[in-house]
Amino acid sequence: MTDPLVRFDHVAKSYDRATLVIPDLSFEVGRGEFLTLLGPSGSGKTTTLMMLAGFEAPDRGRILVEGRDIVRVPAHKRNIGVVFQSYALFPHLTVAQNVAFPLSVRGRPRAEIAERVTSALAMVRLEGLADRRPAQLSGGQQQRVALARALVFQPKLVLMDEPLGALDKQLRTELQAEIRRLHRELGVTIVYVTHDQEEALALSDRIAVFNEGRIRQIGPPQTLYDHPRDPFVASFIGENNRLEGEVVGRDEDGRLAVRLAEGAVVWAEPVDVPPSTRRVLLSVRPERIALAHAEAEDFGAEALAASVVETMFLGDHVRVRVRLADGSLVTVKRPAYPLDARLKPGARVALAWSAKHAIAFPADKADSGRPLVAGHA
Amino acid sequence: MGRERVKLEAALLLAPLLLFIATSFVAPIAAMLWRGVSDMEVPRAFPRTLAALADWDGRNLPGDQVFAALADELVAARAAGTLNAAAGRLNSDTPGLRTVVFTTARRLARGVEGSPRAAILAADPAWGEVETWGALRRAGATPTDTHLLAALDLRRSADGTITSVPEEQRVFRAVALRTVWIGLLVTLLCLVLGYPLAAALVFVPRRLFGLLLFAVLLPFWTSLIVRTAAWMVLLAREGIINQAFLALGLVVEPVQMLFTRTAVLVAMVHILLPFMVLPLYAVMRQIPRAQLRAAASLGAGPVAQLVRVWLPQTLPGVGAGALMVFIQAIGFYVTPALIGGGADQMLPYFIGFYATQTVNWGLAAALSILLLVGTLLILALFGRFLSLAQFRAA
Repeated sequence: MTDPLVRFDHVAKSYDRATLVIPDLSFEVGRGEFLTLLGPSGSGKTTTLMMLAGFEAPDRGRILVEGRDIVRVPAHKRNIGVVFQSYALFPHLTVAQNVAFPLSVRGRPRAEIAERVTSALAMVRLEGLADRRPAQLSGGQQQRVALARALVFQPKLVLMDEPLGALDKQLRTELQAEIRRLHRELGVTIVYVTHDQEEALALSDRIAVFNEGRIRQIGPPQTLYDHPRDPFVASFIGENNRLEGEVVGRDEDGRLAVRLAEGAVVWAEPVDVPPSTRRVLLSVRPERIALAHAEAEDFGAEALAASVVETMFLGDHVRVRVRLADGSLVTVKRPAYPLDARLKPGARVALAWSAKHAIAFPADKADSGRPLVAGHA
Repeated sequence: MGRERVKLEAALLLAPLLLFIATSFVAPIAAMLWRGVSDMEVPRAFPRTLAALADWDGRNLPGDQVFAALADELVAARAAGTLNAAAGRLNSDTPGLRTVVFTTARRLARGVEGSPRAAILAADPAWGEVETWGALRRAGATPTDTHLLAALDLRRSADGTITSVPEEQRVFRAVALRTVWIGLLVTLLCLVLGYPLAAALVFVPRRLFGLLLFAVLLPFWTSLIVRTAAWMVLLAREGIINQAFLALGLVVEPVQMLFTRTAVLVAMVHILLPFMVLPLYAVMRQIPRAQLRAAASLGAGPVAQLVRVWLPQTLPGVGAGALMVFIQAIGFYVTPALIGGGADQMLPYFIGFYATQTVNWGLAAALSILLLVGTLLILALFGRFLSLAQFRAA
C-alpha cells in the first residue's frame, strides 16, 4: 500500500506481562477502506481495535496514523470515532445532546453544532427523535445515534467493535446496509470488528482473519473464501469439509493426487505443501460437491461412494449429511428445488468435485481440535 | 375468581405483619402525636369552668357564673387529687400559675365568704388579669394548637391572636435552625468524604475493593452507642488523642475536644458515612465503563469525561445518600447528648428532655410533630428532585 492511513508496525501486547495476547502484529489500512478484523473471541481482534482507539497501549511496536506514531497520544486527542457494541450512549443526555457531545467538547459555536447535529441525525434517519432519551429508543435506533455521534465530528477513521452484536438478525441486516451506505457516501475509513463471518463478507473491502493474536490471512472477501491460505481460514470463513489423505503423486501443474482414508484417489490444489509432505488435509466447500444417485464407479474415476445420514430442508437449499466408506461425514449443499425425494437416510449416492475446488493443506498445519465442518451455518 | 383469591391469600399472608405494625408502630405514634394537639389535665379538673368559659369574649373578665364554677371545682379538684396535674399544665403555659392555683384552692377550701368572684379575686390578684383566664381556656381546648405554637416559640394571647413569646423565653426556633444546620453540615461532610470513597470502590482493583468495602461496612457491626462511647474515649481531656498530642509536644496542655461542636460533627459523620457511600456506590457501579471510553473517543479529556458524563449520572446517588444522611442526622439523639455541649443539642434532645425530665408530654409530642413534618417535607421535596433525576438518568 503506497499511502496507508493506518499502519501497525510489529505491535506486541500482553495484559499480564507473561503471555502475549498479540505477539507481533503488522498490517495496514488504506484510505477510505472498510477493513474487518474477523476472528473467534480471544483472538486479539478487539485488543487490536482498542490499541488503535487508544484505550490500550501496546508493549512494543508502533501504530502509525498518516505516518505519525500515535502510541503516546491519549484517546481523546486521536480524533478517531468509536462505535461500541453496548452503544455507550449517555443516558442523561437527549439524542441531540449525545450527537452534539463531540462538537461541544471541541468548543464549536452553537449554531454550527445545531446544524451539524441536524444533518447527522438526518444521515442516520432519526430526524424526529432529537429530543428523546436513549432509554426511549429501540436497540437499532440507539446504534444509529451512536453512529451519528461517531461520525458527526468528521473523523478520518471510525472504529466499530461488534456494533450489531446485540441486535436481532433482521435489524442487523438492515444496519449493515446502512453502514455500507454511510461508508460509501462519507468516504470514511472504517475498521470493523466482528466474529460473524457472514457480516464480514457482506461489509468489507478486505478482511483480516485473526487467530491467537495473529493475522492468519488478510484480503478481499472472495479471495479469503475461494483461496484460504490455511485450514483455520478455510473453516472460519464459510463452511468446509475436511478430509484427511495421503499424497500419492503430483502432476506437472503441481496438483496433488491424494488417497483418502476411504480408499479413493482424488486430485487437489496444494497450498504451501512442501514436497516432502505425506499427510494432507483436504478442504472442500459443501456447495462445490456434486451428488448423484449412482454407483461411484459409474459417476467418475475420482467419485466417492456414500450413504445419506440425514437431509435438512432450509428453504433455499438442502443440506445433506453423508457418510463415506471409512465412516467420516461429509456435508453437501444443494438447491432445494427441484425437490429430490430420494435423499432419504440410507440412500446410496456418489460424490464428486472438480480438482480446483479441493484445497490441500499440510496436515500438521491443521489444529485438530476444530470440528470436521466448521463455521456459522 | 382466581385473581380475587390470590389477592385474598396475599392479604392473609401479610395480615400478621400488618397487625404487628398497627399495634406496635402506628398506634403508639398516633397516640403520642395526639398528645401534641390535646390537653387532658385541665379539662379533667375544671370541666364546668371550661364549659362556662366557652362563650367568653377574652377581653373583659368573665362573668360571675364562671367564677362560681371555678370556685366549686378548685375545691373539688383539690379534694379529688386532680389539681396537681392541672396546675402543672397551667404553669408550663404561664410560669407562676401553679402557685396561683394552689393558693386560691387553699384559701377557698377554708370557706367562701361573699360572692365567689370576690373570694377568688381576694385569694389571688392574678385572677383579675385577662391572661390568666386566657391560659385556663387555652389549656382546656382539644384539639389545641398550644403545644404546636409553643414548639415554634409562639403563643396565643387571651383574645386569640398569635404572638411570639418574649425574646428571653425563645428556645425552639434556634434549636430547629441548629438541628437543620448540623444536619446540613454532616450531610455535606459525608458527601465530601463519601463521594471519592464510593468512586474508589468502583475503580480500584478487585483485591483492594474487598478491603475498602469491608472498611466501609465495619461500623455497621458495632452499635451506635459503642461507637459514640469510643469517640468519648478518644476525645476526652485525658483521652488517647490528647495523650498523643502531649507526647509529641504538639500542645502544652490538653485540648478541649469533647463536648464541642467539632466532636459532634466528627462522630456523626463517622456514624453516617456508610449511608452516603452505599447509595453512591450502587449508582456509580451501574455506569458502564464504555461510556467513559466513548467520551474519550469523542474528544473529552479526563476532566470533561468526569464532569460531563460521569458526574451527572451519579446525581441520583448523591440525592439518595444526602437524603438518608440528612434525615438520620436531624434525628440524632445519643451522639450529641454524649459528645456535645449544651449548645450542640438538637430537637431530639429536647423531645427527650420534655418527655422524661419535665413530663410535659404535650410539648414533647408537639416537638416530635415538628420534626416529623419537617422530615416529611424534606422527603417530599427530595423525592420530587430524585424521581426527576432518576427519570433523566433512566
